[in-house]
Amino acid sequence: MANHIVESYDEELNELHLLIAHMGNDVCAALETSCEDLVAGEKKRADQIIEQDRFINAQEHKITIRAQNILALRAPMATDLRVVLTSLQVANNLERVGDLTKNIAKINKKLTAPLPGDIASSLQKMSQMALSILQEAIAAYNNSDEASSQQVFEADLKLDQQHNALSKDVVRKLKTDEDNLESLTRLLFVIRHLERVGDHAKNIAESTIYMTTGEMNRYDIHEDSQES
Amino acid sequence: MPEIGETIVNCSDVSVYYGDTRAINNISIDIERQSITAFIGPSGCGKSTFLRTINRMNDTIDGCRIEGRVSVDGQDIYDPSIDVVPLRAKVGMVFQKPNPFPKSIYENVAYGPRIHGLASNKYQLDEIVEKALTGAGLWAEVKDRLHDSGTGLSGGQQQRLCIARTIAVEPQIILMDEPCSALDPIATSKIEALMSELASEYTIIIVTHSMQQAARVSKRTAFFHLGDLVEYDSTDTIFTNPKEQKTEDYITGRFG
Repeated sequence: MANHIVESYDEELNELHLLIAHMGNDVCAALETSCEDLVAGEKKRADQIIEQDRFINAQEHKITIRAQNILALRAPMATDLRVVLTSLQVANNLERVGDLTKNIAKINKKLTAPLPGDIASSLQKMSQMALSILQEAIAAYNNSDEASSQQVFEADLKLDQQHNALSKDVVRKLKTDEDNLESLTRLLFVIRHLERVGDHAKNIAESTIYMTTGEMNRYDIHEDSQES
Repeated sequence: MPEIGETIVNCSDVSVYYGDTRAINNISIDIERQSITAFIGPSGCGKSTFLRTINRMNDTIDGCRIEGRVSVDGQDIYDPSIDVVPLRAKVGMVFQKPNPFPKSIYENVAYGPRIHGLASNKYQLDEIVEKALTGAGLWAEVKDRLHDSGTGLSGGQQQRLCIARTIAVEPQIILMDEPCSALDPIATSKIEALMSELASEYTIIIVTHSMQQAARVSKRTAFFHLGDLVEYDSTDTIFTNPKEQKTEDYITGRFG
């Protein structure tokens, strides 16, 4: 798209985009570390991840202020308006993933025994899936790529299947392995958190489609067709 | 495009020429009755020229020629049998710069009804003046000084006086050509509030350079560029998700 007549307006919109790209990188890196460490039973970096969430929250704050100023001072229209509204939604979803990441680090600190081997490998697989869906959604947003956003919905369905299967495995183990009752219960929360990461990725994809096309609720249409 | 309500103005294949120069290219548009329609576009795009075809104000310009059909309430207004004086009462106009007559506030409003024979006595005329000034949201401010000069009012009051003068002759349509561009934001808000009230009774077509104003007041918006009607749709669609790249570029400030 052509540049604005007022160059500083373009600069402000680009800056907003960059802030989100940075925030996306930071959130993905934290999620990756948090999950890797949990699977490996490694706890050294957990406090650092918990602490880092404040930085992620501050990034969302900064994006909200920038978006607010553009709305108030530039009165954006059409695509510009959708870009600004989408930035708020994407930042909000990233912030929520940041919270989930922090919770996973907290759970990691509380786990007292290593995870059973089979559960550990399934959890590793699921966390990699969640991370890659999130990365895909963020990349699609960064590139204003409607088609890639669409693929996020498909990928999330697979993550949901993984969530269901792994939850069942953990519940089955809960019934037989009384020694690990507490750890396994905590693990159910981790699995649930990873499933929520997929939902946030989906929200980001939905926002990206809105940003590029002006259409809303594309995912609902997609979901309805899956159900029928 | 959402279904248009009852049409009051229908333009089909309208072209306007100034001498050999074509200023409007084959425009067809329907204007909805009792609603506000905004015409936007860069300077020289033809929006004012097009507005002025609706009450034949272009007739006063030498070398101006019109092709196509413009009808108001189903009647072709360029038909040779049409008398422009009653037409311009039916399709009133408010201009960019408030232009009250150099007469009293009362006389500014009473002039039209008097020449159109709308009142048979002083009492009736008083009533029309009060009703028009009330309708224009000015009565409370001027009722104690009706015989002071209209030109002594503030800019915003003068513009509302011009609106009172227009509605005094009971038009169906009010054409507004940049009615707020000479006014401060408070006076502008008053005119915009007034427009919304008037739209329950009259059809308003407004030409404005302020896209925010078009977005605030109108139900439908038409975007003009180089004499073409590029896009015409509900105002929220035009400003959130226009179909045409040219509209998008204009409203987002990408070309002037």
